[in-house]
Amino acid sequence: MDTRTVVGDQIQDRRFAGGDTLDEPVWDTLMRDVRAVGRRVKEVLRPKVDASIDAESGQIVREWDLWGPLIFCLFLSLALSISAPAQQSSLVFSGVFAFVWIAEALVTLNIKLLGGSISFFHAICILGYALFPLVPGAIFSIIVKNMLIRFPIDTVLIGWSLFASMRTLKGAGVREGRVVLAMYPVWLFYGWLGWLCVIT
Amino acid sequence: MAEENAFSFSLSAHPLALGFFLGFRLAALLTYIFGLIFTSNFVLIFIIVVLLLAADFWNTKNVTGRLLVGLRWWNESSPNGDSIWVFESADPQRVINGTDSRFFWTVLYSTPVIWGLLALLAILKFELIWLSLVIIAVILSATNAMAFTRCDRFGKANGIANSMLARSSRGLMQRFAGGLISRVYGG
Repeated sequence: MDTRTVVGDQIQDRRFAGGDTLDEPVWDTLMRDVRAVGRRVKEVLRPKVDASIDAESGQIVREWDLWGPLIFCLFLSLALSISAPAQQSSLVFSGVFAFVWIAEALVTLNIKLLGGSISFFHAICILGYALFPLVPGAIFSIIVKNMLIRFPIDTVLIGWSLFASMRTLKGAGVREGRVVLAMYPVWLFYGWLGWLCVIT
Repeated sequence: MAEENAFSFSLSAHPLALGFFLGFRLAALLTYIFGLIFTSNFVLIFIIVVLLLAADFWNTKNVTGRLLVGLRWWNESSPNGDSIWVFESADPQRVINGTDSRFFWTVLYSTPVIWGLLALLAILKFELIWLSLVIIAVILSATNAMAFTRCDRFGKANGIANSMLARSSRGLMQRFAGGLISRVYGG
């Protein structure tokens, strides 16, 4: 196994030397990834703050995948486009979809540029999974048209998303004085999406 | 003559995997190209194509690559935040079916090319809303193509790509040059 470093990322070539996962049945591969997605959803959203479990939970999320972010993003975009006026609905859909991915990339870039010691895809994974609370918010907005009712509920959901993502990012290893600088785009991100759920 | 026969399903060692591989890719392409004939709902087509592209990406990366040609790649995050790209190739003793290999590499490389042409078309027709979808397709298929090429550094991919390019360009050059020469010298 040889390791090289290219633009900050490492590259490893490995020769498969035995073991059973190269020829495993497809069902096993599928189920492994499905269960991993489920574990990650539970992990990112768990409201308990228990220091002793943090190491293990860190490991679970560190093996990142983008299925959760994709599914939540699709649901969010769909829900927002359904409650948008008819002639705008495809624009709203593609707008929200593009916004979510581009904003996640920018927020992650911000964290990396501030010296954050978190991998790019790992951060996007966390931000995407923490979108989950906003999805019922957007679906709720389809049913309830009154903004005064939507507002407090969406505020709570934004708070949940923020809490989940910040707890999992844990400051992402940026230096002491810069944690707020790294985190406020995250607040803007969820705040903006929550606001869309309110005004749609 | 042997080359033509090599693209038949019956010679494949993993026909089901090959079928799914081709199926997802073709489905994504056809839905994009012909979706508007059946429904005018952009959102629906977008969602279907994105889901098919994601399914194809996962399938190619995790199933097709390792079953057809014994290659696999992934990305790990190390605890201090580094991103590690791992490219794994199978034991040289492992027998890789020739048909599988030919099918795999041909389709792997031609898919990003086709989506790239569709992107060009979308730009020329100024349909920017569809361009976002095509860009996603290009990124996903190109990522798989590049990653598997990297896995196979010492292997067959370059041989097959070179031979296909040589055959097609030799044919084209012959026809083009032949016509030109006959017009210039034939009077």
